Amino acid sequence: MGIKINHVFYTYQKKATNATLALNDVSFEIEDNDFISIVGETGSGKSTLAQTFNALIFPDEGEVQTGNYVISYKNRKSRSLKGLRKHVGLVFQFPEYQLFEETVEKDVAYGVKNFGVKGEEALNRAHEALKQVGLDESYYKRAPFDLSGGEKRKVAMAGILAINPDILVFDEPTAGFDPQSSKELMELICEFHKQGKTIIIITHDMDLVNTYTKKVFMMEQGKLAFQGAPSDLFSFIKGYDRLDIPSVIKVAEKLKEKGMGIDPTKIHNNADLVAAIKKWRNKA
Amino acid sequence: MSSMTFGRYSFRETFIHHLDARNKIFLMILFMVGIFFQFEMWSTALIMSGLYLLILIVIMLISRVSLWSLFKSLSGLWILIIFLMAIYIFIPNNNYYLPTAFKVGSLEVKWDAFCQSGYIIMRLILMISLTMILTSTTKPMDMTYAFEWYMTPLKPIRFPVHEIAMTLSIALRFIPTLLDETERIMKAQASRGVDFNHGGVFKRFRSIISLIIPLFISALERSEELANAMIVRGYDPKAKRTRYRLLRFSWRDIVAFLFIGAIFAGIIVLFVFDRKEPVDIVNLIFGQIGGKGF
Repeated sequence: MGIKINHVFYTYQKKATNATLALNDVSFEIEDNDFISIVGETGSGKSTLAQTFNALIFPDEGEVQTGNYVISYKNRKSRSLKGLRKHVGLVFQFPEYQLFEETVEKDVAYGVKNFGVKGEEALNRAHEALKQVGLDESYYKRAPFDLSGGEKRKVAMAGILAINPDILVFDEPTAGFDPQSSKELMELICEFHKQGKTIIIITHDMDLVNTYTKKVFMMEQGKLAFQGAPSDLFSFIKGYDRLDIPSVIKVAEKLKEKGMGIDPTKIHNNADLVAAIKKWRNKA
Repeated sequence: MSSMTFGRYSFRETFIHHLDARNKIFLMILFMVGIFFQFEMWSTALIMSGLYLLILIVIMLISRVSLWSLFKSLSGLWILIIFLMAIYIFIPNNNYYLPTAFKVGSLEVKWDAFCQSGYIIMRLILMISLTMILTSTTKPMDMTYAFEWYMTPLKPIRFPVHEIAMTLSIALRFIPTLLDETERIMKAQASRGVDFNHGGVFKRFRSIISLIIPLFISALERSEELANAMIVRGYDPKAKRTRYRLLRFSWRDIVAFLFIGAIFAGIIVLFVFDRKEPVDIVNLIFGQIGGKGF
């Protein structure tokens, strides 16, 4: 399932004097089984945009088309959107704050039950989702509040996964994680992608963008400022203070400055850098 | 969340905004007490209520609090009005002054029932509007300082005045934060298929639980963090401290004090006379003018 964003406008606090135009004529398209990222500085409208994907926010103007569902101001009270959230799963930043049940399995099954799956079947789906995020049977009966931060986040993610949506949107999935946990989490997300799901990651961690995603969209003050391959983005954002280029590219650039004959624009990950250095050394 | 804007502080350059918070609280209480004096004659009570309403409207105009937002917030009073009417109609009372309005079977409904409930509603509206003027023209922090100031006489008897004021100001400070949090959790749960607006009673109750538990947990965590941060910075509730913001009495406060004070004195005088012999304002003013004419 893909998403078509068509000239979307959105304003927060329309009546107030400090009304801010959070989305200003945004249009682009996300194809089925894409693995994309949306980047931008704080307050650029990227989270707002993500919330229009599953109708938590309705655009003031324009429309977002997700599969057969059309999200627009006109449709905001329409019953036709009822099934939408079954297809688009949005994992918020710090999702661990949404846990509330007594046991882990009940909490994960909660979302499934909301979409009409009953008792035993819902629990089975919950168990499956928990297995996917790497939590075994010993966790099923534990209270979610006794878990560590990382485990809580996994449970919360399982809660969305159990619904089995076609599109998964992650808002800052690795915020506050150590590098090893981030890596594990991102590999998990890659796994979902391989299962045929469309993945959208909202982040400002350029290392994530560089390593995992094929296509990147950049938001700036509510507008779409850039779309294309990550490697093109990094030359585009040289002037932005608050957006960093990936560390591997930074290293490559420094090496080039010092006189090593490598091309930073062709380097996407650590393996590329190692290969380029080896190649240069062999030549020299 | 936009319905919460009622009575919220917003700064405007007006006479009332510049008044000292302590003075404002005192004068508000004075005015409220004045409103609750009861007069024997209907005509007197009615004229006095009209006078209060007039003063209230003048204060509102000066403080530039919008009348419209007040009336919108009062729309919820309908249930109370109906409830009061029902009480006055169905519970018999033997001092009626006014004639019968209508009869339903053996139940005789006097006009008094409507007038009494109308009178009470009127006073309620006056009280609510006064409080709203206070909260929308006074910074919440100034208000807590004012409360603290009023409670200082309790300090010698070991009443935790400063602690209470601190608790109050922290609570006020975190209202917007918690509202944001609520919205965030609502959205997160909505992504899990929770529907807060539809469904039966039981289902809605479940949805509310999914909102309240995470909200409580995050509030508790937040308070612990805040307490730790305060301890780390050496906060001691018993320490003597100076203030960044000072409350000052100015000429404006004297003017406001004299104005409300004069009205209150007038009410008291009228009330004292009223106790001796019911005062009829209509007769007092118009009767004498009429007398001269004839």
